[in-house]
Amino acid sequence: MADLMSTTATFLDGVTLLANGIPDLALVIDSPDCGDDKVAKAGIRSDLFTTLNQPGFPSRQQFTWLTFPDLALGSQAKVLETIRSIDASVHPGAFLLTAGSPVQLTGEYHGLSASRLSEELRKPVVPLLSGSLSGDYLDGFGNALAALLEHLPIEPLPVVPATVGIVGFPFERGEEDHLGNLRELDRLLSGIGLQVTVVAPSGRNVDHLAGLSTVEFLLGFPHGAQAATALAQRLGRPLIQTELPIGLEGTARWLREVAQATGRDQEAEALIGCELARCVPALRRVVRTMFLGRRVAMTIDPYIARSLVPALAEWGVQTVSLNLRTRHLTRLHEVSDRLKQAQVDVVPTHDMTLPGLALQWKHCLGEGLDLIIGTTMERIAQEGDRRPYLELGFPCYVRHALFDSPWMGFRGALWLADRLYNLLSDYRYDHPGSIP
Amino acid sequence: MNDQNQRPPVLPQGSQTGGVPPSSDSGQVDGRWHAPHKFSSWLAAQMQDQGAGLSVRVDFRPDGILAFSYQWKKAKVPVFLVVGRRGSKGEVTRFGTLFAPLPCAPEVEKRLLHHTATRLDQIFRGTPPTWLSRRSSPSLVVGWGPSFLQDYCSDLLVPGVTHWGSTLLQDAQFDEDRSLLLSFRGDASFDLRLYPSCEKTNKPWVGQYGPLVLVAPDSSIAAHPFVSYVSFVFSLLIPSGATLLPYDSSQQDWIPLMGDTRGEDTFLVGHFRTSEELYKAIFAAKAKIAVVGNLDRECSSALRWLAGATEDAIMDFWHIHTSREAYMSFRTTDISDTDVVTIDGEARTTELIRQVIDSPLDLLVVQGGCPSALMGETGGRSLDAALEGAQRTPHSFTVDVCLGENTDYRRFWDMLVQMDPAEEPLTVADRLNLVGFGHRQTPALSELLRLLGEAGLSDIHTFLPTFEAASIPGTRSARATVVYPSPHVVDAFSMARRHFGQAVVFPDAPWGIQGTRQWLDQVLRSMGRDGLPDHLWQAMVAARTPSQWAEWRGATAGLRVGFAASAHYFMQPDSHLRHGLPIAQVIQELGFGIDLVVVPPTDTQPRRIPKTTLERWGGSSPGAVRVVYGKHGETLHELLQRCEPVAFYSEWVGDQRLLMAGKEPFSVADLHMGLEGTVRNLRFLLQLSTLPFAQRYGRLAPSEVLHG
Repeated sequence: MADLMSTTATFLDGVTLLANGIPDLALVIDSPDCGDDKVAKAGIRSDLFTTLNQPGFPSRQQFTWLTFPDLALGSQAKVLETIRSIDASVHPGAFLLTAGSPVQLTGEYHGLSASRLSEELRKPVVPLLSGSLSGDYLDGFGNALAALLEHLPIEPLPVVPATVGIVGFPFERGEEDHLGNLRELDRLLSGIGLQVTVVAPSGRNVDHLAGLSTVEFLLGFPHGAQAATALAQRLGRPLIQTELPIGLEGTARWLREVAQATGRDQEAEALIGCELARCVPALRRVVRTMFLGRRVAMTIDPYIARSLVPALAEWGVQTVSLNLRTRHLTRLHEVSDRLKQAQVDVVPTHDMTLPGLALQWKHCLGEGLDLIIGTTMERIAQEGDRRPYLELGFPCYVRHALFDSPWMGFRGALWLADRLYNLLSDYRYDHPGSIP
Repeated sequence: MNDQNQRPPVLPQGSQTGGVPPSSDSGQVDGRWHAPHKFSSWLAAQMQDQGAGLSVRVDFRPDGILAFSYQWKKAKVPVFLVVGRRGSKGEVTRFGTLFAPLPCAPEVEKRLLHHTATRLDQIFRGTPPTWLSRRSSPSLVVGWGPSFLQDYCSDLLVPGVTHWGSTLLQDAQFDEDRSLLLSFRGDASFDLRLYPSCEKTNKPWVGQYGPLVLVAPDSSIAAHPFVSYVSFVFSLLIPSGATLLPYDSSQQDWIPLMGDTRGEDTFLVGHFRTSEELYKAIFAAKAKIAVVGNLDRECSSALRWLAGATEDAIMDFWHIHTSREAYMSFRTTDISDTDVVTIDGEARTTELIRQVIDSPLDLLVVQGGCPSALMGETGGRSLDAALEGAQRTPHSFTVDVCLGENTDYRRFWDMLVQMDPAEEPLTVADRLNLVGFGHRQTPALSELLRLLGEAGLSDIHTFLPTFEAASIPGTRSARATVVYPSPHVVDAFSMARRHFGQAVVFPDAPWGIQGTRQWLDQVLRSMGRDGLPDHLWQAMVAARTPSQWAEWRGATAGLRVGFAASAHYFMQPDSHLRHGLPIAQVIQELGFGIDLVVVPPTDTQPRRIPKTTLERWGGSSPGAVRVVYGKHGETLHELLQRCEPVAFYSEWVGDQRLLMAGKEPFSVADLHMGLEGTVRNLRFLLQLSTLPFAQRYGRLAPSEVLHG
């Protein structure tokens, strides 16, 4: 196998991912139809409960099916036709309108069409400048969220005290892992006296986002940093930019940051104490008997890596290979800096191809490798002696979540420990002597 | 320019064109051109009048192609001008312009294209200003003629010459006076005046409104977008390749009986765009293949999905999985913003080709994408450059865009079979080609091969939708070729038909017990043998039917299988056939009854299904086929709920409309050919018909989820 292309998901994958997370957001991609795989990735295969494409029903995600004449003559007519057709059949709450690489090259921008259609249909039609030539899925997700929030009628209204709006939650699918994450964030913030009223995106409709108008605090996650910053400025509200709360210490730090910014330090310390008292007994034995000294290879979203790698290090799990699923060096540098601060010794790579990963993992195997954490796209890079593989991040085709299985927060730390323990334990049973 | 008073007289006028045909031939009636076929005879006369050593015949074909057949230096060379064509649903299936459909020397092709363009120019010279053109600024008035075709046709429209960067349309303004101002990114801009030639009609209208008949009517064209008029002029020879329309929201009231794939055994229902079919064939092949793409990330991502290089593909095309690792190699230039500026994709593609070319390949595919085409880059040039001085030259195949029509697929199969070095076929008496019976993971295929083996045939090569490189050399030496009788298989096979020798048969496919027997008989006879002896057949059946067969067969009594569609659908002659599967016959052979559920249109009562239609569905015996008519105003959900069958046919995976009504969907992809397949079909339909899940819980599917 020599598949010399990076496994990083594309810009349009990210845009589609956002649309998947907002059930009444229609997505129109001005492009030939050769992007059929987008819906299949973000929707059908990765999310058992996707509403992007319902069998037997009109899809809320459509291409304009451009042909070359359209590229020469302009695609406006097809854009208008497609949006009107979706509007008549699906009745979405808003439209996101972007383009594929060919249209990006022609320089056509749909701002005018979007504005015209917004007036005609009396609902937001949000133009999104395509970045598919050089962007990756994190750009697609983040830019689409920023564009959407910018065009929605979210204006400053009187604040409801002690409310929080989360912007940039990496809602990758409507399964019980991310729903579990949402419940956990809600539980933790409730524990310090804050009520989460809006999460963008969170599997709820467009009009849910209007609730951002009244929140007292905005909490920004890395996946939507740009959107959160712009919204905070627009609303004149304090913005708390944090990392993802992953692992025990990561979650405790996150809670303290939020508590400090909202004046709830004492509540946070009390909550953290309770939570740790509940979690640690469950972990005390397995950290020593199963996790300590384990060597893990990871190929993952850089924003998740920034929190997950230190979280595992806390249990004695050493990340010996780290590939970041991004095209941008700046994100690689950010992760390097974070890991140095956390005193984790691993030099990350980024945007690797399958043969590159295979080589890297083969090298790791030679020196000892117990586990791989990555997305479905990299599973195939395992050659020969296969190790336990935990799918985490987008896309996730093989592991699905039908029951509560968060990986953020304190409960998420327990789920991660549970999952890793059982993967390793199963593997050790099936392959006696292969791992200690 | 929009002054109505300056509207020109009808085109073409005799005094202006130098020779008006008799009105009866010209198609000119009451000052309008109505019939393209009449126009063509006039045009032919024009062409003949001005012949210069060439003889030419002109035909206006029903598919909207103006065909010039040149006889030149003892060679016949056709040149086509594609005027345009619309499908039955109004979709534009093909646009084009001047091109030579058969390969000929580049000089000849260029000369003939130029000749045709010049002739057309001459014909239309002096017929202003039906097409009033203005280039740049200040205004330069040119006619539909030399300036237009000579200046634009060769640059705009000849494959391999066009540079998209300078011809991209920047702006188009259309007013109600039918004037169109087109501004291009280069220096050119010009106006067109458009005059449709006939009254409003419900018939496909592009063919009637082609450029050569755009003359002087008074009817409004407001209902027709200007793109429909002018795109034939500006389009490259890269037509829309869509063979399967996207889901039509207007059809949501009925169950699509042929639609999207189910992600399972897709060999029968996998109607993809032809370029996807091409890639499925290429990448599922048991051959050493390298793909080099001059592509951006989005294109590469889609291609790798088709190519089976990723888990994406494995999730959909399980049959690819087993052959992928050992055979595939995929490299891409990974175009980004920077590359658009530097435009060095061809050189980088050449370099990538050089990296793989010396490895032992069966096939090298060089793939271009839309961005590279927009930059004027072609895979052909990269390939030529890479092959210069190469130690070895593998079979190679270039696809410059993913939007290609059948031509890619045809070229591929042509090239594939040409791998066979044999000049003349030497028939091998016992060798049989099976075409279109599935891929290696289609369970029925291996079972059919075993049946044939028991009948004495073991030297069998299988093709389509995939192939094995090692089988290619034996293709032409087979005594007979048996083709699966479904349209898409036959269509694909026709592309390489000439390579398969003369003895080609299309027997009914081996569905059901009796169908399998008949198929075996016909295959044996095509091989010059007697039919299958009864004792051998009985032994085959006995070995393959389990002890519970009679019990299962008895349990089907009283069970029914449903089909929901409009009356119009059921009345189509082949509605009881799905992809070569006589579904009504197969279901009834298993003992099930059939309910045809006729979904009414939203505003009227459904049409009654005629007796002849019921007979086609096997309705001659009492109770075998029942018809359930929807009532006026009744929704699909209500109609389904009051229907008896649990198992309903639908091509949509997990069709929610059925599930919510307590029904269980199934499709062709769930059914299998052959004897073992028939046993599986019986068990499956029996289990499905008695499955309680949807009946108990289907209504709980939250309807708001469906539409967000």
